[in-house]
Parts: sequence; structure tokens; C-alpha cells
Amino acid sequence: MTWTLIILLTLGAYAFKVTGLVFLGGRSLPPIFERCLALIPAAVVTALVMKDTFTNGQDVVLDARALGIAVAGIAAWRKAPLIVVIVLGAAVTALVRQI
Amino acid sequence: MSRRLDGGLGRKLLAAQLTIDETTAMAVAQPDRRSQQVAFWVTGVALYTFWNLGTLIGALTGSAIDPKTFGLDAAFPAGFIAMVWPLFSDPRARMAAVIGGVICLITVPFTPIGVPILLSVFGVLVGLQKPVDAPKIEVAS
Repeated sequence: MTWTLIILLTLGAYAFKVTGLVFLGGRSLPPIFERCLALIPAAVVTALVMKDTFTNGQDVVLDARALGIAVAGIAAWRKAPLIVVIVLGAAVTALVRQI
Repeated sequence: MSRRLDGGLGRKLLAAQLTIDETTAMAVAQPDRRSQQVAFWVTGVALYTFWNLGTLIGALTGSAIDPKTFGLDAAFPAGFIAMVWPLFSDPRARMAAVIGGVICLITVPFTPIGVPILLSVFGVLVGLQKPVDAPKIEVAS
């Protein structure tokens, strides 16, 4: 049962991505769509950051992660390399949890 | 992503498997088409390898290590913030990001997990408005 579900979900997820890339691919869209589509990464990735930083399941929380991500944000703003931003975010969060 | 990637059906089928948040974020942050493709494939292959390797290690070691001790749960958002930051040079991307982020946090308490991220897509409606910094055509009067 579990495996059936896993395989079904796998196929579904893959089909979804192939549809976009293979069948719709290359077609140009009206400029208004293009402008909106170009903003998807900014909107969605920021939402992911908010979710991973300020929520715990369905609860909105403020904990050690907030400080870690704030430091990571400053590092990103100062154009620190990706790995430095990640390590800083994790390290500061871990450190705050120790205190 | 389809317009950023080249190649035939075989390559597109493979690309589809690797089309996820991380590969997209790394690709769109690159200035030109060539580096966008390099970013997509390098990120995709590296991520696929290490993600599965990590899953295997996690499955084998079980709950011996608590990822929270090392702040590893903060590593993801930290990585995402580094990837999304270059996009914020565009004022409309900043606006879309603020709207997306606020929608996400507002909807988290009363929607199933995953839905707030889908709803954050409404941030892109900022794009409906024509860009203000577009070159204006001067009309001689």
C-alpha cells in the first residue's frame, strides 16, 4: 500500500514537470504572462524561507531560526558565497539553541 | 524553465526530473543563458547525488542524531535566502517576494501544509502592472 502510494505520487510529480518542460516548452506567452512568470521564484522562494523560518507545522513561531536566518540574510546581502550563508545560518541557529 | 534549457526530448525528460526549487533558483540567478544552463545541470546532478546519499545515511542512522542540534533545519532557508537575494535588485521582484512571504505566513495556521507555498504564487500578480522603469517613448509636442 505504502509503495503503491509512493510510486503513484512519483509518477504524478514527474508527469507534472514533464508537461511543463516538454509539451508547453519553448512556446512564447503574452508579455503580461511573461512578466508574472518571471516573478515566481522571488515570490515562492521567499515564501519557502518564511515557512522554514517562522513556522512549526501549522503554528507561526519565533525561535532560534529567526536569528540564524537574519544573520544569513545579512551575509547574502553582503554577497557572501552560498556555502558561507548556509553555514552561518545553521551555526547561529545551533548556537542560539545552546544558550 | 523550458526557455532556459536547450536540447532534445531525452535531455528535457531528464531535466524534468531535476526541475525543483533549488535548480530553478540557481539558474534564474545567472546573468546569461549559458551560465543558466550550467547552473541548472550542476545543481541538479549534485543535489540528486547528495540528496539521495543523505537520505540513505539518514535512513541507516535513524534518529541517532537530532538535526536541530546543528541548526540543520535552518540550513535550508539560509540557502534559499542566498539564492533569492540576487533577484531583489528588481523592485517588482522585491514586491512579489513581500506579498508571497506575507501570504504564506498569514495562511499557515488555517491551511494544510504545502498550501501556503502554493498561495504565495499570487505575489506574481505584481507583474500585471507594466514595469515603471520601462523605457518611455518620448512624444514631441
